[in-house]
Amino acid sequence: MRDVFGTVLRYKLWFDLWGARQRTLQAVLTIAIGAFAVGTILGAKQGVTIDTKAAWSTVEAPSILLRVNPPADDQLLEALRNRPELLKVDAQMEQAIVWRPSPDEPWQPATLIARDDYEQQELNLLLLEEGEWPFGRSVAVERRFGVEVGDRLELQINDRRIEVPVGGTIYNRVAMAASLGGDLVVYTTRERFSKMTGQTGFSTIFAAVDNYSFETATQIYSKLYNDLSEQGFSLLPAAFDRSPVVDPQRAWFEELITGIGLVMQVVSAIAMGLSLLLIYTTVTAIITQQTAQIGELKAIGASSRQIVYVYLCLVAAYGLMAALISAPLSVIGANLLRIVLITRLGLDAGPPHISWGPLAIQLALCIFAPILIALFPILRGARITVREAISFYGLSSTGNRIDIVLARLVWLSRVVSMAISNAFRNPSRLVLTQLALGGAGVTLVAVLSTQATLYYTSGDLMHSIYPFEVQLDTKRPVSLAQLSKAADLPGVERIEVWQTLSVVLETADGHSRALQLNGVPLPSQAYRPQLYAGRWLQADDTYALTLVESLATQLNIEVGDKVKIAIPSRDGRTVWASEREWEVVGIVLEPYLRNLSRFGFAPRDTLIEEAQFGQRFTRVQIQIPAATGQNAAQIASALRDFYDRQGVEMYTTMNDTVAERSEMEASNLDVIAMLLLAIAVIMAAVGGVALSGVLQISVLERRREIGVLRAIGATPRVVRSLFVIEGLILGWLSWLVALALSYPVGLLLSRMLASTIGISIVYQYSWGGLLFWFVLASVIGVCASLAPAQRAINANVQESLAYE
Amino acid sequence: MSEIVIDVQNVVKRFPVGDREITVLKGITFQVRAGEFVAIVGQSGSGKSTLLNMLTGVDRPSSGMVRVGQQLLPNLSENELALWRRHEVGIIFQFFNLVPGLTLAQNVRLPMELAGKYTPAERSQRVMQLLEQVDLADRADWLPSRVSGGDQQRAAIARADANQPPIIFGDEPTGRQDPRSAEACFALFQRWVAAGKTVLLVTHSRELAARTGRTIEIADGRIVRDEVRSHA
Repeated sequence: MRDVFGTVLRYKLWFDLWGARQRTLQAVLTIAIGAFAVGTILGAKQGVTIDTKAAWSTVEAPSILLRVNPPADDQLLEALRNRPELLKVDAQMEQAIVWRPSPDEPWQPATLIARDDYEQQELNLLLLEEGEWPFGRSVAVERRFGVEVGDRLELQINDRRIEVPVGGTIYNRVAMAASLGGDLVVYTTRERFSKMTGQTGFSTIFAAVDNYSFETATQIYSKLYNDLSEQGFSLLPAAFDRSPVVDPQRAWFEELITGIGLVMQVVSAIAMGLSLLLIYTTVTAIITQQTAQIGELKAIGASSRQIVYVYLCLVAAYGLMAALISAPLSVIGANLLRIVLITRLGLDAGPPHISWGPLAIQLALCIFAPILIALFPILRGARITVREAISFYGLSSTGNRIDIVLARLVWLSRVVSMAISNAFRNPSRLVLTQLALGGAGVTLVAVLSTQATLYYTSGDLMHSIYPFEVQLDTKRPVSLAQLSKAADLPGVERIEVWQTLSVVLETADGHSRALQLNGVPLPSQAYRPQLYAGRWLQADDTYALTLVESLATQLNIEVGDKVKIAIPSRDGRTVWASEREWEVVGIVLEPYLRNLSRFGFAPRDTLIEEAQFGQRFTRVQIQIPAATGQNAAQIASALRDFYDRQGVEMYTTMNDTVAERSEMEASNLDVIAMLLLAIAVIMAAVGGVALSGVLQISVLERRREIGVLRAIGATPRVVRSLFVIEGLILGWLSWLVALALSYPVGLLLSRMLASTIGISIVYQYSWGGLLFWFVLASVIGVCASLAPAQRAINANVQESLAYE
Repeated sequence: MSEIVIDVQNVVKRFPVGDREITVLKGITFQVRAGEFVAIVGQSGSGKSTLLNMLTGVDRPSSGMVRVGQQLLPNLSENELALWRRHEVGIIFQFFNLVPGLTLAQNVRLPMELAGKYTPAERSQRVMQLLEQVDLADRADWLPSRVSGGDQQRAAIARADANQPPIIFGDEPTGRQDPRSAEACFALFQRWVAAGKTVLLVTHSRELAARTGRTIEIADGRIVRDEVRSHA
């Protein structure tokens, strides 16, 4: 340090910083933008993790969730509370209803819930957001559905229409938020619930076990199942994925958060890589520009070490300034991004906070990374000989191959020819520019392809797999004849009846999972499998299964494997109606989030035989000719009414139609899609800064040449064209780089993302994204070159000629 | 007879041009004794600047030997050459090569600081003396970009003597000067020689060369004349 600050070289340092303000700004912004992106993304990721953990840690999540029929009375609850293996027991009354905010609005599905005492909750804790807990006729509603305290709602419960005042809003961290396509939840008192529905017991029971493990909880559940079955209760799992046992530490949004985290990590790594690349390009250009000065210093006795210190101090100063600019901005950015993501999940964002880890990484990226990266060009610069640096004697260059080729193209305008020559003049810098700008293009198209893949998977793919638009699930098994009656309804073309069962699958190596097995008639018209491996079920198949890819991957199951399927008994005398080996003949892709995608398919006839149900079924798939989302929803509603009149009880969901399911999946993936889009924008900005930087440096390097051009009569228009064409050439080159690399990178990113959030995908390359990058790269090329061009035009000819 | 401080033996310098090589220096041999005032003259392209670069260690010969002071220059690394230049030689470049971010005074002071020579107070005093000698004391705090080419050249002359080296090399050191300034600079070179320094200048000015003690003329990479005068 004494070599710099103990000598007049400190004035050179100051001159390099302040005297060349534009270059300093360029270098500082180059470092700051990458560091800002990294700090913001990593800070937001940590913030989201902290906030979601904080939100979930106070939920008191249960590990066993049961739906009991008939609903449980206080006596049963008391008995459960006295069981030593259960740590806590809580329950709620639940009924599917429909609601509307006013008579002009359409009915929408909702869930009516009542707790025994809202002040004394034990599990799945609800928080009062505003107003009061339900009392008397006054209900509370789930927040953020556009319903406020003081509003009135119209509810339809068992054909009765009731108008209720809203006295409070509730924050339920277990319910899927409105922003993610969840249904409204209406909370009322136990007494009022009984009056409105006629139901006095608790249909849903939550229980927590001590020292949760999947095996322990499953054993306890089996015991509960047997005991309650013996007492005449039928039990259904009530968890989100229809599994009765859930990990209380694992929030329902965990996979989504992991997916978001992965995207953020990948992007911050890319941003960091691009940032380092930009720093390297910038420092290399500065060293190149100062080659003569290095020679001068050496000629008067400066050692290589002294020269290295001078430039390291310069880079350290850039880094320090970049840290001062980017650190506070990224703290703000990280908090804003965190709040957007957390709000999208329907959770409460915590107070603003500083994520020290990401901030430390950012500061290191600002201060140490530039020094380390700059060491290469600085050491190379310091090794330069005095002759290479300052001697102009000897022989001029004979020109590179491109110049020789361009010289032969006599028909080419000299301006275009010079611009092409300039673009390719420095091969190593060209490669670095393309790593930054081309890298931005590759990332942008890959990210847009990933987004297209997610939307295709949840949209077109779902429609192609499920050609029958409406799907309804009965609460209890119903005869084929009764379900088939709806085939005569107007707008219904065909009906296919399935059997869906919650079963337990056990692999040969002893791993087990609860899953939903769909018994389909063979051949099925209502399901067009997207095969991943093996084959689809055939008409003569018996104990043959196909599983969804995410489940098969989780359990390491391959085609040809034998697995044990245990089907719960319905008579209560034994636990299992059937326990036997089935063969996995195929693995299919399913466009569902992992939470909902633990299922498989089996021949319906074999399944009902093993389940000992008789000819009774639980799912009806309905084909509608040329259905649009809206008329499908209307027909679904008419079908519900029809079955209701027939005395067939159906589960109420928002997702009767494929269009609705597709919309819900898309809305689940919206957070990730939005994030991907934001990243694409950041990448384009980074690419623009990179190109602008390269062109600015190009102006500095060629100032003398520009002076000569202008001295011999080049107009400002000619000079401007020179830079704009060079910018365009570099932009278009980046498009070619994107064309070559974006497909495999997008495929890799999509697969990583799909595997993390647990969906199967069919990759869709974004040709639109590639076209968009062509336009954007052209715009960036022109815009990034305008300022440097103007700078070249504004320079005094004499100064330009004298420039060293 | 004073000692030999510059000894050049059969120096050849070749440059590659595409697939060919061009020989710029074709076996140069000469010696310079301490206290000599030597001018190297020749037409453009004759190889005189190349020869100067061999003597200052800026470039290396393709073959042959160059000894300046006690050092055989081709044997030194780039770093050793830099350390050697600090103490043993001063160089006045044709294009001045002042550091643009430093004032004229700072440019003159820099070699002293790099060499760690003199106390800070002595450095300040010496800087002003040197600038006074070249008539730049009143512009000591100006940046090179604010003064004329002639002023920059004179600052470069002052800088060359910053560490009082025994040998000073100059490449067209008065080429940008007006006649009065050029005369002043020449007088300074003469004073250096009188004080025992060895001064070797490269110039295309035969008039200037005629006023030195010895003229070595180069043509087509060879010494064609080596004339010693007694009046210098």
